[in-house]
Amino acid sequence: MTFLEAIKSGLIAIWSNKIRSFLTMLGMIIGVSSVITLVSIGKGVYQDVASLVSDMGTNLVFVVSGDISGMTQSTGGNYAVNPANFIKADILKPADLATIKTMPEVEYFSAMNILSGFLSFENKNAYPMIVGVQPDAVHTIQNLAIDKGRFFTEEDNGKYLIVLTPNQVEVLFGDKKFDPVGKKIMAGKQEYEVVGTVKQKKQETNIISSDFDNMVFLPFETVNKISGSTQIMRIFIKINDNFDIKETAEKIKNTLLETHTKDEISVLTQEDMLDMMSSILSIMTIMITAIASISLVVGGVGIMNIMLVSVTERTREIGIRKAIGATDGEIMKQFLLEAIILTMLGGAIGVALSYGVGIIFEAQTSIQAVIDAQTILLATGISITIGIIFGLFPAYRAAKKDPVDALRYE
Amino acid sequence: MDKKIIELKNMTKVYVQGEAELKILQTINLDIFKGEFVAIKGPSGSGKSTLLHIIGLLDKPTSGKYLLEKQLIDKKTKPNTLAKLRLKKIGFVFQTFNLIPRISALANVELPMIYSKLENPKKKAKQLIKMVGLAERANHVPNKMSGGERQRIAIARALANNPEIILADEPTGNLDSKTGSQIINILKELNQKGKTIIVVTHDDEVARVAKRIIEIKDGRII
Repeated sequence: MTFLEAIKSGLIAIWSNKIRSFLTMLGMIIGVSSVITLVSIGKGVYQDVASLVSDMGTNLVFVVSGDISGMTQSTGGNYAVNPANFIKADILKPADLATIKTMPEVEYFSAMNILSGFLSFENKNAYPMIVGVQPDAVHTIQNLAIDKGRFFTEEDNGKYLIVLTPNQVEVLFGDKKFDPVGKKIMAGKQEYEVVGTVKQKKQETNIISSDFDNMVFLPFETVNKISGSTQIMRIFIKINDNFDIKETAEKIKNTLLETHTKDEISVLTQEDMLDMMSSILSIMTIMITAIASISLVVGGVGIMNIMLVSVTERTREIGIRKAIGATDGEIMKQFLLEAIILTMLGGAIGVALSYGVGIIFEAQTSIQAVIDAQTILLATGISITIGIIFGLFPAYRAAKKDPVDALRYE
Repeated sequence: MDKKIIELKNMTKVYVQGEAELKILQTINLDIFKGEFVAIKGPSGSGKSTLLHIIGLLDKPTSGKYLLEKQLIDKKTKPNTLAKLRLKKIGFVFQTFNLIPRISALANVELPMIYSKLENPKKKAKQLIKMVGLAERANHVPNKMSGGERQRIAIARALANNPEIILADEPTGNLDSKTGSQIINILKELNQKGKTIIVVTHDDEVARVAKRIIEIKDGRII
């Protein structure tokens, strides 16, 4: 019997038990669609993060407290991380800023602090993330481009001035397009004058950058004055184009290590951030996929179960086929192919389903789930493998039936 | 006409059920010549169906020899060898027709030719169905056909790979006498065209058509 004839015969057998076949495929449909959905969303998130990191600008280096180098792949995956150092805010000191300032490779830099608090204008309240930055932050934070008014200057340090993002303008003044420059808004008992607004960021898709909508900016020293400390949470540095980014990051790190221990600070390039993100994502994807695979096993057992029922029901047919000259191999091929057709149909419906889920996901989060050729190949591979593994035993049972007994079966 | 096509020598068939041995067939010696029309008669339980199954290669002898066109078949013969011989040399016709219910009459007749990888099985199947007089019913499924029609399709299927031997197990058992006679006539015609036909039957009319009658009782030819 040719391969094509066997496929045709399998399709007829499946079609003549439509409801049963569909119910049997359900496990495969759910299994394949959950695996494919998770893989495609994982890929989508990675692409999104990659575009975010490249949108930050070029030649950027970030100094953060705590050693997170263990999370990047480039260091060989040493996961011994002291998490306590992430939240310690008093590691980076003004002296470090002075050190960085002296380096010829550094074009711009800005220290950054974060506070939480609430703002009010007349009867409207906002609860933004209050970010203290230095004037050069406009060069080191990509989305920070001035729309109306101006950004801070060195003279503004310590003054009660504020720069708003469009979303915060909307919350406080009711309209994104409102020009609030010169307006006085309250933070606690302190009055702040709005000196500028930043542009709406050009793309809305990045989940990571959604924080940006929630920010307002204050001069760095002003934040220190409010919090009563000289802490620095992060330092953003833009390297001069004439220098190699990796070498410079290494140099900054070594310079800072003269006054810090190894687990106190991390110096990251954009590439490092991407590596970190990708390793976190791949671990998450693998874990969730492993859980989703359980449903594939359940689906496979369902296929095996129904194939065993089908073999028993069709005992007489097997007897007839053997009587007219089918070999054990032909019978085996027929039932194995039938199982594979079942799992592949289930897989195809599963992929279609995850395509639908991807569309909904994109509408909800603006992240495009990526179903590419590789993903389709994965689904096909999964389906065929499950079909073979769980179809083999029923097919073997069918092939080994005694023709005389099979013909007598009622 | 005197070429031996089937030779059984001291052939026995024993089924083991737990402790007991059931001797179904005992020391069968039988020669059947090419072009014969043989009827095997006997009471139920006499072993005549088992004899037909062994001749038809669905079952193997426990001891003794079976030569099918000089090819030796004994208990050591591999299932695959038997399947391939069945495919080429033997056509079966059963009492209960044994057509596959899900597929059309045409597809049923095509099936043995698909297994033997014959070219253009559909064309040949149509010719065979036309020959048994059911050309206009070829695309119906067996369940939509009468008993007589089903048996004619079964005969068409038995002829698919142009086998030497047609084996029929009570071919008229489930048919009324009129359609039964039609089936007997078809078998008779096939015999006249040179096919060797072996029929297991209770039906005296079938036995009358046969040129030789073999009677079996308690597993022995009498």
